[in-house]
Amino acid sequence: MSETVNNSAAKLIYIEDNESDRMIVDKYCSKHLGFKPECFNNGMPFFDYLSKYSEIEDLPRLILLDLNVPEMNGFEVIDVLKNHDIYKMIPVIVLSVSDKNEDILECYRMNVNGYICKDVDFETYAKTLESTINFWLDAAVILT
Amino acid sequence: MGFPKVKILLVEDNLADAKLTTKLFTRCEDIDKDCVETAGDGEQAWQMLNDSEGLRFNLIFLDLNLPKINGLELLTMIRESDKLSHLPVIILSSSIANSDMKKAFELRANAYLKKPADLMEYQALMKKIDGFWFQSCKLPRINA
Repeated sequence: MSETVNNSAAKLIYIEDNESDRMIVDKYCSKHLGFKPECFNNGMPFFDYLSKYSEIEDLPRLILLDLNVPEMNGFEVIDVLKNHDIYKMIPVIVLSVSDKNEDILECYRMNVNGYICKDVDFETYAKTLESTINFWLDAAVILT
Repeated sequence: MGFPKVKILLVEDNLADAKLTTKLFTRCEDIDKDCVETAGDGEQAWQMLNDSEGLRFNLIFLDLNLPKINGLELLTMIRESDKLSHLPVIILSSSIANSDMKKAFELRANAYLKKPADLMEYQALMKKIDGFWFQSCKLPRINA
């Protein structure tokens, strides 16, 4: 079960179509945070879900976004989120297999909050996810 | 040490705060003294950023309450500059007033951190900054 508090959205959203990548995040969150992220295959079902929440305090605390998802891809999701009056306040961290500078620059220019690379090594990727969740859920201050 | 991955511009007018923050930065594994430069006001920071056309730094830590050009004004100038708009900017402020945070996020700050009141709290925050921004996050490439 994903964590929901009253009528708020899940604290952590993960937009990812790859089942094994989802399992890594699920496993880390279950073990260390006591809840699982709310997962979506692509941007379409995610925006259906997000449309139920319009108050800043009800929005997710963090979105982990794979760029390469079907139907509505990661760039389209970023474009909608970062041009919306309220949704633009939600931190978005891109997960990508690319470490090309052009891709990194493009994402920062689109106003993503951070960019991390998927690592083929499970331990390394799990450590990266841990650092990401620790910073964004425990250290970064958000609007309430 | 090889080519630095991270080059920080710390914009902070309080000398004691600047020294402490720099010291804590340089205790992180991948950060040495050459990885951090400090600007004492917004005008100096703007000059330093433009001298290198945005290629000398790839991460900015920005106080809000600065002389000459304040933090929010500097953030506006960075986001309006074609050469600098991609740079990740982390606000490091003693104010967590919702009005300051809202303005910072509207101006596309990448993250907002409350400046800790004591050393232990600051060390704990630095560990999280290190884990995400210095170890995990892909930053735009720099020309040292």
